[in-house]
Amino acid sequence: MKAVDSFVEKVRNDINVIAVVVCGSLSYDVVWDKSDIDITVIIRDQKIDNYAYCIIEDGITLSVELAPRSKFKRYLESSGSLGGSFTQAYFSNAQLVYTTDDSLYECFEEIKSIGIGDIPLTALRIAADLLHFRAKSLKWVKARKDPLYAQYFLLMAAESVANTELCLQGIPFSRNGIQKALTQNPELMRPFYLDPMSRRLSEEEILATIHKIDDYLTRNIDVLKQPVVEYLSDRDLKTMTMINKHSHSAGDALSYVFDFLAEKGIIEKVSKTIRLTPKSKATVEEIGYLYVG
Amino acid sequence: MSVRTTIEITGAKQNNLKNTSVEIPRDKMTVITGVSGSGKSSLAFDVIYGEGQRRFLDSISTFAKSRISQLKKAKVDSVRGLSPVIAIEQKKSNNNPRSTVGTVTDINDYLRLLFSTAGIGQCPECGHPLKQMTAARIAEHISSLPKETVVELRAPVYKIYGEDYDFTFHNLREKGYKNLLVDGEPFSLAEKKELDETKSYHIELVIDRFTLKNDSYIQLTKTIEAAMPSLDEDIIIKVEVLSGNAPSGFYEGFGCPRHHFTLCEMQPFHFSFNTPNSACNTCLGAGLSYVVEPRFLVVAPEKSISKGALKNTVYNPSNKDSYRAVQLYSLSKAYNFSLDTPFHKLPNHIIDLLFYGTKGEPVKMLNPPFSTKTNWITGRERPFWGFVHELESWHKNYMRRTTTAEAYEPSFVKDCMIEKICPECNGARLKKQRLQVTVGGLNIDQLCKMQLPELCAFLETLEFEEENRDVVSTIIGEIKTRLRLLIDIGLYYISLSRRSDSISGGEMQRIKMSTQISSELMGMLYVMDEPSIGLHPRDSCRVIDTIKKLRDIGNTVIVVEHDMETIKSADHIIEIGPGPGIHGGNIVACGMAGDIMKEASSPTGRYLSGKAEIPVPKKRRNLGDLFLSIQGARENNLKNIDLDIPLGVFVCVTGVSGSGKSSLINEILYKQLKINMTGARIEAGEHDYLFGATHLNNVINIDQTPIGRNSKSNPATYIGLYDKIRELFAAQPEAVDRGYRALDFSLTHANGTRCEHCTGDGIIVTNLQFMADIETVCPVCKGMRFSGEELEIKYLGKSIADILDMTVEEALVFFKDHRYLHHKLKIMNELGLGYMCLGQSSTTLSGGEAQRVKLAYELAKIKKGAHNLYILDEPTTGLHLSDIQKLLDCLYKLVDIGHSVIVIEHHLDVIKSADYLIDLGPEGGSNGGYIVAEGTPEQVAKVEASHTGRYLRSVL
Repeated sequence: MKAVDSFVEKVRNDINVIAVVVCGSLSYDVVWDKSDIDITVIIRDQKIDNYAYCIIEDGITLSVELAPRSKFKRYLESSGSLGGSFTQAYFSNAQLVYTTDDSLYECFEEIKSIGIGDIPLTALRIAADLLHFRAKSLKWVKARKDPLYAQYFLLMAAESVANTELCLQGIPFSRNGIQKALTQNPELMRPFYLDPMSRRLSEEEILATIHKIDDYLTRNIDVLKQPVVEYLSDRDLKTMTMINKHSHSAGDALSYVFDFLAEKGIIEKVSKTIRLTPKSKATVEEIGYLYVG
Repeated sequence: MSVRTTIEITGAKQNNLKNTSVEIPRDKMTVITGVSGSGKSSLAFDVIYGEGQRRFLDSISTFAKSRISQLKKAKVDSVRGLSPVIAIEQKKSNNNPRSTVGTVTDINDYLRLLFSTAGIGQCPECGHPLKQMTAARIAEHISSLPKETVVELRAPVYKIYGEDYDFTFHNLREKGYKNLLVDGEPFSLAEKKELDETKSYHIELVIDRFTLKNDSYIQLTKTIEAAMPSLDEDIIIKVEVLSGNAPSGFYEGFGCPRHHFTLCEMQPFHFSFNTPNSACNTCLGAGLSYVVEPRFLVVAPEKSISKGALKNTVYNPSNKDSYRAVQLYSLSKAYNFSLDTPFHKLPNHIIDLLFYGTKGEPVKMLNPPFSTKTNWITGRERPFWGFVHELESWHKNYMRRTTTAEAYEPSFVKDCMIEKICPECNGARLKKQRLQVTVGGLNIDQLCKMQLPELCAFLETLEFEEENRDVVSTIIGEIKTRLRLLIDIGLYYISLSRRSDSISGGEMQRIKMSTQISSELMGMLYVMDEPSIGLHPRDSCRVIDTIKKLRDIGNTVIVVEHDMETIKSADHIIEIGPGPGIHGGNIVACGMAGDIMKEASSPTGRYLSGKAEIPVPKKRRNLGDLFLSIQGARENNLKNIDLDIPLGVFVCVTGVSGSGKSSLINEILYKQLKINMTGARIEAGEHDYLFGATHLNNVINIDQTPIGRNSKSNPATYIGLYDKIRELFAAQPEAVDRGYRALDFSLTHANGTRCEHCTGDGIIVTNLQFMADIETVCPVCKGMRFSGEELEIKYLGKSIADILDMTVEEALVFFKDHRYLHHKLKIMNELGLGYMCLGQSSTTLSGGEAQRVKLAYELAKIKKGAHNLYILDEPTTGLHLSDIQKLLDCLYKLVDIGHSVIVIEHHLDVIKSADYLIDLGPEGGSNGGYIVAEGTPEQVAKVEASHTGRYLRSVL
């Protein structure tokens, strides 16, 4: 913290600097002398060429990022709309070590938790990852007959389970999601993390764990379905292209979770005739979903 | 050195000009006249304008030249004494719905400037007037509060039209705003709260919050500046003092004292409907939006739904397993109607149900007996939203967020839609926040909708505060100068918001003239094409005055004109002729009107001196029993009028410009007849009823649009002569021996015998980058357009290329034994098209020529017994008096074999020859739209109130 203090002392007299925010592990975790320190400096609105510097202070590397105030606020307030994004996790643990602007305290206070309205959307995104790892694990154990590699995918799924669990409680999560979830609910994490980390699982155990993923998602299906049902509530057929465009995502990531909801009978999986290019004569069928209600 | 006082043209050989040399006086008004096709335009436009323009462009850098298309050098030995040249033609401007009179005259730019400098805003809650403030002034004023005061900046939130609150909130969140106040209560978009869609709330957005410190001023300024673009250029913010009360008088002169709103600095683009952030959200600034027209969803009302009554993109009965099949079958069972009943026999409530849905009531989905497999939807209950709602929501989705990779392409949906005035902005094109800004109590749209004299008078009355009086009076001065020019030139009846695509070529030409005068340049050379077109005799003097004004400020004006008044007013007259086409191209007469009159060989002189004239018909046709009756016509300025148009006679609709002639005939009569007869996908102008359509077999509008855009289309192909000529050639023994079919003689047929090097064009166009494209005669066919072997086939000694090179006159003699061809050619010749080459490319025909070719086509195919209505809008365009007689003869011929003709015309010689007149007026614009007089020309001439009647008296 000495390095941070001496950095703050230096910029205190700079009227362009509005706040110094310590992010990353220093703000909440144990650090050692090899750690660098992530710092965001909020500056007066202005156009600058370089937004990132590596500063040396008291022998410690400070990774400093500059953020003009208005842009920073807009970024922070919108971050939640993408559902507990990395930005929120990154700044939720941040520490405001110096500021000339009191309103920033409120800002940081607000992002310490995920808003109730943002929880379902965030959970939906993590569930999409979780279902992706589930599918991979199932493939490697059943089709490829390689339980060890399937176990590796289960471990990857563990982080998604941990993040979903935290998200459902409104807690922003980052790289330490598994540790946090372990302290909160070790029994939940056992089959996904503690067991696969401690020994080699049999094929039956792997299939049972996969089944537990299904159970876990089914238990929380009311939260997961909420944004989907809301989006499909106009009862128009929505193709994957429209879904991706609406949710600013790409590829088939969300189709896993839409398929899951369709399997559970909440929505209907259908298809729509499209042309690949505006001039194409041939038609193909694109996956689409419909809420029948 | 003496100053050159003439423009000298020597050896002009462009088109039909015969090595013509002529001198045109500079700084004078010169009229070039002559019969149609005599070479007037070739001299004025191709030689004088073309050369002037080319030389001017020659002087610019090669870099700039490579970016503009270059002009061809005119075929002329020399042109001396040219100055910068501007052509004011009658071409209609673009069809962009965003182009208005205000935008083309640049007056809108000045109005925007006026509003951004002198506009007064209003508090969105109570209408308290707000003066605009720069971000720095707002920040400075806030900074005057005691230190440690907490201030919050907010902005009003408007629900997006036609969308729910969630949609508006989703948009705000994406822009980076999370905290709102709904009816004064905090509302975070990250939390889950529902709003009642049916209620309206006061919603404000929290932009930022500050605790005032010594150095807050700069960041405050920057925050306000940053907020505007991030909020789509919202111009109203609210400054709320949170800690304690604001000192008394804090909002005085700063914002609304009750609601604390302040108007931010405005820029001209805040009032431009072409800036997405200022334009209305629904129509995006077009003033019109698309709605589904149920009429277009039914293609065959006499058929049943299961036999294809509906458009097949809505329901295709051949797809028996479709979702739609299940839906319609289930609806028919639930609401007890049959899919086999002809559509027009279905009761109204069922038709309503199909178009507008079950209003949310669920319908049980049943598997139809004709389906081959069970649809997944079967057994579930679903409401049906109606075809209209479904298509509209698809269209909205497409406009807002979908891509071309979507299944429904816009064309499919758009096919069923028509343009209607935008329901959100009501045609004002701007966001409603912008319309709250006023000057003199009126917003920019209200000013744009005023007629020009009214707007001019309004601007006179405005008074402004001391601080911006100088700036504003300069802007208003500019606007008024431009408005007066438009009024002086006779365009008093239009408004700035009038769409450019709705004004005629003549009106557009006059607008361009007025912008030229306002430029106050001198030493220019203006070339104009028939500026009298579209003008009532009463107004033609205004145009002559404007031309003289252009001359008097030191310019040379060259006018191509047939109008006798303009000719008489000219300083110098050049007549080209004597005949059209190959018979023309010579200077027949030169000098003042008196000199021309003395010239025996001059057709213009004969009419000028009164030696020749178009006679008044000795007897008018009697009106029969048949009428077309229009009731309650209200389109544009029409004043809910009822009128009967007699059929079987030659009717002429007259009235000063802007009196509502085109609205009545083109917008209401023609469109409604088209709809009645063919179910055309158009919307007729506003009226109650049209009776009498059943008396007619067809309605044909003979307008001046080009007959073809393909360089291979020509009069012979349009009239249908060429098919017969091809057949003639294919039937020649030589051709039969070689196995040629008629198709092989086509210029468009790639595998035929046309020259493949030039693909039948006869010329090769070489693109020379920054030099003009060069057209060279095709080296393979030597300009004959056909390959050598085909040219060996001869009919009466002429090859097919020789025939295409013939004029109509020559062909008439050549084909005298061929009844069909002779008939068609004779009609073309009678219409004064004798000079036209059969193979002349359609792209080179003038509007008037195209109209006459169309008329010839109609005349050639008429059959006895049918009753068609022919509508012609100003058919005298481009016609010399001697040609007008030919036109009238043709129109008489149409009427005499039992058809009806309606002509919209200003030309007195046509008006006096009509059987029945309908005179609209008395004035243009809001003072027009009434029927002033009806009856024979003699009857109308007696009506005092009729301007047309007054002028008629002088010719009858």
